[in-house]
Amino acid sequence: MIRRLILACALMAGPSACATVAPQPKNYEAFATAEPHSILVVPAINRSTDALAADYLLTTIARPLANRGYYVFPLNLVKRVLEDDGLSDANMVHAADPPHLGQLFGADAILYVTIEKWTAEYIVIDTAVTVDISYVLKETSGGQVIWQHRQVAQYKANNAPPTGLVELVAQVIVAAIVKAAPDYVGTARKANAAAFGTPQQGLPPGPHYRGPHDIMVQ
Amino acid sequence: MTAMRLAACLLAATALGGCAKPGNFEWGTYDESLYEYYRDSGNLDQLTAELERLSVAYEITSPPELGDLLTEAASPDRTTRHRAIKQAGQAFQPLDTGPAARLAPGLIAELGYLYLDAGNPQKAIALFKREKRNWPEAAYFMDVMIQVAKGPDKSTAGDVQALDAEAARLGTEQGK
Repeated sequence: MIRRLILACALMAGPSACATVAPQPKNYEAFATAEPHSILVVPAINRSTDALAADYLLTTIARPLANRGYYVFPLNLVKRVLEDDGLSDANMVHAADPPHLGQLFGADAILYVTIEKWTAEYIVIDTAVTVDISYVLKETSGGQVIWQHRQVAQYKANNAPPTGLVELVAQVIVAAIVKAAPDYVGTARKANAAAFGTPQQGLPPGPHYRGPHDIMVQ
Repeated sequence: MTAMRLAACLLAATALGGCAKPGNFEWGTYDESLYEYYRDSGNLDQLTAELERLSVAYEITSPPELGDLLTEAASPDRTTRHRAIKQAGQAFQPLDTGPAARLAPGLIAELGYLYLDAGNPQKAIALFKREKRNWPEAAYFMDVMIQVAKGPDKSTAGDVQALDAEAARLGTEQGK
């Protein structure tokens, strides 16, 4: 795999062609002004065909978000309260006025998550899981967007091509097991970790952050 | 320094049977248990059991006394609330950066809701109060939930007038 990459690079014209293009550092001015201590995560909008994807994704959000140093409102409790009040439809909650929604819970900011893609492709002996998520964080005084990000994460059960018959058979068995349960949740965790933790792209450390100090700009 | 941290962590691990990675809160298997519950509601007992385990293992015996600051943190006024929470943060700094990881935010309140839903409002109220003392950020919402738990009709868990009014307001806005 690496050898192939090197070969591809060698074939390219300039030496700079190989470097990955670093995305522009994000502007954190509005974020710093809002200075959020607490984040309300509302149920996700699900654009995939997997009806359970929104609930499953929700279970992966609290850990990486809170570990970034923020108070994250209890996910299941928030979900139930919204349902009890006739706000079970994620589209309706996402369209609601952020200051009013924030006032319901006393939250500084609201994270709106949308599942763009949640798929598994089966390729002979392999399963490729793709999760594509967009995140929008709004403050609750005026409803301004203070951070947004789109993240794709992929998971492949088999990375190395089989070298012999025994290994091929083994991989077919592994693939059969994986096929029964593609690891969407693990892939979603990867997406969250990258979305929240990438320096200059993710979320700045919050008030409860306890290191490691992988300092993000400002 | 690193060796000391490691030693502290090992000590904590012996005492509590778990060791959070540096920089992280203590979560136990909260997210996995919640996933299993969403996958099959028959797994509710496992989620409750795990949250109970964590609530005992990681109890903060003496959270900082905030006094009026906690009342202000529960204010319906956003600016007052924000200021109080920011100020209260300093009192929690030792807990946040101490050698042992703190129990993650929200978990005590999650357990409180499970009790409320199971028809045990007294236990729920105690847990909502505990979440409030441990996390001033939750003060306003926990006061709402305590009202819910005390509410006139305890059988319909989760229904509260204040929330209903807000929800109705949201509903009206949707209609516009």
